[in-house]
Amino acid sequence: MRRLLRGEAAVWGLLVCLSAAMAGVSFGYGVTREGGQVGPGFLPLVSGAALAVISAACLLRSVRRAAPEPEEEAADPRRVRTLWTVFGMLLVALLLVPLTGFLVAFGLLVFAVSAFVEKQRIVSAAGVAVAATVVIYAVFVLFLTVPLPAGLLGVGGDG
Amino acid sequence: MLDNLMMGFGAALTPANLLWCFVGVLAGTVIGLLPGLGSTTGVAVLLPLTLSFEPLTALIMLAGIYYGAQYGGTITSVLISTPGEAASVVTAIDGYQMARRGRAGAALSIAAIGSFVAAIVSLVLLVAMAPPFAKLALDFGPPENLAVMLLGLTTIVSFSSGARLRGLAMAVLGILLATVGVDAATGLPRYTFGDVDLLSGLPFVQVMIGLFAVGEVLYQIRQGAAAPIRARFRDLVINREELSRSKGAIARGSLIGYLLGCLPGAGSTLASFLAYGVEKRVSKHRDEFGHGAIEGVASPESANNAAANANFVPTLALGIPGGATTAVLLGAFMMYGIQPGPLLFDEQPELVWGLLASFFIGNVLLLVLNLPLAPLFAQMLRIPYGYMYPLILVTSFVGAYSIDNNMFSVWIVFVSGLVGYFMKKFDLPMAPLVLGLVIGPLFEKALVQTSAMGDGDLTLILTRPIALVVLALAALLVAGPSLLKLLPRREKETV
Repeated sequence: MRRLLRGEAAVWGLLVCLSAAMAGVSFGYGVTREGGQVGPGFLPLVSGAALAVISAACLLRSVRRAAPEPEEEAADPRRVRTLWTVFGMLLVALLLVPLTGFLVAFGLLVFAVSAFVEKQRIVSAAGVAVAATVVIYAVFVLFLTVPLPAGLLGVGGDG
Repeated sequence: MLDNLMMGFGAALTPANLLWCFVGVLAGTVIGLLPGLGSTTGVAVLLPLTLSFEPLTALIMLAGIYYGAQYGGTITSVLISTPGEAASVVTAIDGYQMARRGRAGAALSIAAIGSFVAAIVSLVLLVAMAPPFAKLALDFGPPENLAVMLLGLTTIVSFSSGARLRGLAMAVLGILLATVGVDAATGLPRYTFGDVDLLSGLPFVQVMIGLFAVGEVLYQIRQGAAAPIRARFRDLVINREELSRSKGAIARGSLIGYLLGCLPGAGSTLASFLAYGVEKRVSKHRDEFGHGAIEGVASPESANNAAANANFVPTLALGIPGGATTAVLLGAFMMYGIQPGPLLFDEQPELVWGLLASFFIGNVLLLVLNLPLAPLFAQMLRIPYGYMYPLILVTSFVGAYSIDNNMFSVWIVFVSGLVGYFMKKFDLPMAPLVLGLVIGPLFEKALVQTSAMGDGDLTLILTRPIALVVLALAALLVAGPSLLKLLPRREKETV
């Protein structure tokens, strides 16, 4: 059961809930207008209801297929750990943007992922991070004048 | 007409126009390479630079950016599964698989060749048939547009082979998510929860970057770093068999692209999806689709380039933009004091024909520039993935930020990336979701207008001959495979 909840069935279950909720909310927008014309809630209702039905059918199929997915079994736990580590670092980089600015946060991300997750040489990882930061600064900030967030440090946002 | 075209070449072939055409094509290619920065953003960002130019020179450069970006978007689609352009989304499916098999150079070459052939074919058609096609497009009302979009959706779902129900679910999810934001007809906000950023809907390009680029990176990390491709330079060059396999695909893609590009609003994206769907139906190598079929690159690339050129039919002849980029170009026309429309051909022949002639020149430049460079671009894949994927993540996020200059875009990419990862993990088709998101707003607009035309009666669509033909085509696509399966069985039974 735990496997089922973690697997494809959970995705379809989530879609059933999401689509049913969106279809339910659509009544509040007005499904039809005067003269029976299509209203703002019509397409959300029809597509939401249709998706709920299709997702329920897919959910049933997944549950009946009960056997664990071979691909799920084949996943290397170390790689799965790496995946969520990178995902977590990405989240940290995004949360750091208001503090350090965009360029510093993402420069640190490149360095940390290359050096500590992918175990590349520290000097090479630092070189790649600096080069990437400079190129992004040149292309986006200087050439395209994109005002990247400079954060509290005020670095690299003078687009 | 030939006299007009000669006059156009005379106007376009000045040293200054040639130089700015080259600059436009080159800048467009570079812009297309950057995730999130497609032709629309490129033309919009560089438009102010052209204000001091002669109108023809400025338009030649901006048009160069337009089709240069189309090709640049293809490069990232093929190499890192990150479409720089919505119209290149479908190219990522087989192009990226080709790249993983060491055929990135071939994929890029066929994209360049297909785009070139399609551009030239569509330009000949554009020059010869712009006036009659403009008249036909005028006959397309909301019911016909609705029927075309239903055909697009049917096609995309029908090519989710072996997973039609999943494909249908993703297409419907795309349409449902496209309803987020202000309703165009009434101005009522839907599913925005008071968030100002959501009023204009889910930002499509950012969602696309997340689904394709970030989702792919996360999935590759889970699979274990894909080994860098060690293909020899000569293996990166397209071979005779690949060229031969692509001929039909390029021809069909060009035709589909041209026909759809002529319709206001249909655009290059729908053309590329439709062309891919048709190719998957008719190709002798349909089993290879999704695993690196060269036809899966040749056809949509030809279609999106043909559509990009054909987009100028409604733009020039009717003053109605064919797509997002031509809408920006239409704005550029206005800024230069030019009013596109039926009278433009008579009032400013040198400008119109000069611009059309510059398309020929620009496409030759694009081919000359990109064909030799394709294997060089493919060398990017030699970089170890441990260095490559953090760079892909950074460029994806900075590209997304640069679209609207806000962090909301970046968070959308983050969330879409997670969704994209799970979609890949559970083998849910992305193309139907993307198409649903793209045509959702257009679909709803056509639905509302059709309903208004029929006083709430949507069966009006069945009374319109053109719409009926298009719907019959859609029905054929749905029922066709089953009917085809029946045919040989009957033959066997009678033998």
